Amino acid sequence: MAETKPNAARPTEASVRTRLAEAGLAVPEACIPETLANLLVLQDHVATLRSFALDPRSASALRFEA
Amino acid sequence: MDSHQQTAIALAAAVRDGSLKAADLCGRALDHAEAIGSAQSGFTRLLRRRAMLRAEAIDKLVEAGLDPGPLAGVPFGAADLFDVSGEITTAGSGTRHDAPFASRDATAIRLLEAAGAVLIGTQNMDEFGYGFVTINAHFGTTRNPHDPDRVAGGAAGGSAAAVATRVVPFSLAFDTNGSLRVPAALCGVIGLKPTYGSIAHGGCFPFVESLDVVGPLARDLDDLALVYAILRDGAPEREAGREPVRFGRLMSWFDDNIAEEMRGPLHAFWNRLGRITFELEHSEIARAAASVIIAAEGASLHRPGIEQDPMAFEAPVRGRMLAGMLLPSEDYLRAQRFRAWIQVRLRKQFELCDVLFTPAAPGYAPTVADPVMLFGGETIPARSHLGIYTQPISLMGLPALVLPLAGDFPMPLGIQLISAAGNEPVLFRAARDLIDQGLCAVPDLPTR
Repeated sequence: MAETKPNAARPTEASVRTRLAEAGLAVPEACIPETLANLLVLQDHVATLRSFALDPRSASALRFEA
Repeated sequence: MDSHQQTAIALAAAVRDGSLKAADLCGRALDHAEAIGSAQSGFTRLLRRRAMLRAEAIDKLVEAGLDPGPLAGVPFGAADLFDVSGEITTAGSGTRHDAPFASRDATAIRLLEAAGAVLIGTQNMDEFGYGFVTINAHFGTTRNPHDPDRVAGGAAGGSAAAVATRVVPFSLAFDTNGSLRVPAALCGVIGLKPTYGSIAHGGCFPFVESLDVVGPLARDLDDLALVYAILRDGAPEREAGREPVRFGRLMSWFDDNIAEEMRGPLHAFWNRLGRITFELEHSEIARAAASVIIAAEGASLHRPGIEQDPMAFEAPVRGRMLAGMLLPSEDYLRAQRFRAWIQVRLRKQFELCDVLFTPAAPGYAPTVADPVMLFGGETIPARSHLGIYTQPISLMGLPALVLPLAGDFPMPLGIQLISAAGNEPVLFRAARDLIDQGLCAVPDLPTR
């Protein structure tokens, strides 16, 4: 079974360029630094979230009732 | 009657008994908004013709002996993401200049106008609701009514400023992650984020479907309660109860990163309420989950626009959208799963306590020139972080009411009251207690 690593490799401008291209997004070069900055923040949030081991069967991801 | 000093309820009573003309009332509100300008009033579009036609119709109803409703002739504004018939809903974005005109009013506007209120215009916000400062490259910066060198907060900063500057007694706004609670706190007005899913949001431009809620801002608690009741459109509601409200202060996440100017007043407030504390476990994960959900849903919603013309978006918003597009779906589902999980656990929290409280924002409003705040000892952008205490509550779907702390402070300080889902009545009862005890009060604007 694959292991989930809370702290994945930090993205770089080069990896952001590649990932945007793979996602089919053609954006001007000026967008790369701002995307990277936000991706780093998002990656911290993802790491926090992944650090909490929640059994996927213990809660629905598709239904929420406050 | 000085209409700027009166509550919506008092103004409506005067219109209904014929001592005040709705046309005069709405005309004065429009004149006031024009006189102080968009940056101060929070309004980016005034609907004078529509408003005056409607106000004159209200006056004719009164003259005919008919009752126009509990908000008869009362002017109000709405954040520019509510559809207004015949207008473009900009959602604070220049990318929507060529969007089609709305074919009808949003449900919330329709409900309020059916109760006699008169929409006089639409208000500024962060682009697509993605921010906490209302510094908008397309529509300008909304200034804090207590100090124009400081931000109003956001995303619904225009709606809070319009109420604080007394252009209107209440505004219609929205809350995704603190969008109305943060500006309420920074501008010194009262704001209600209702329980997720409890208010109809037809005709409201979406941002994050999993979190978006429609809510009001007002200077007077009874006005807020009346507007909320109208927005509920007759839906059944819990009894408010009569027992004393049990308050508790949330610690840990909600006690970290509090600015110096907030810590003393918050401590004094807590002392008066009995020094009871509670923990809301996993709040930092809740904030992270909320951020992931916003990034993913916001990015999905706006992908076509980004593909078409990325440079038409504000740079901070564009960067956040593009980053969201690179988020693995597994992380989004993980965040949603956590949301459902923590909501079940939360129910037990409210067996011991009726109302939990936290700061609504870390401290005073940051400056427009340098909108930053301290977080974990580092200086970070306020645009993306002012909602640190509101975000976990959004994820949990709970209702929250923001009230200004009473005191002689240079700038407003707001607290956030939180109750169990669907228990808004206890929030209103708690807020009334706090106002009556002199612990909370809407501050006057400084005289300049």
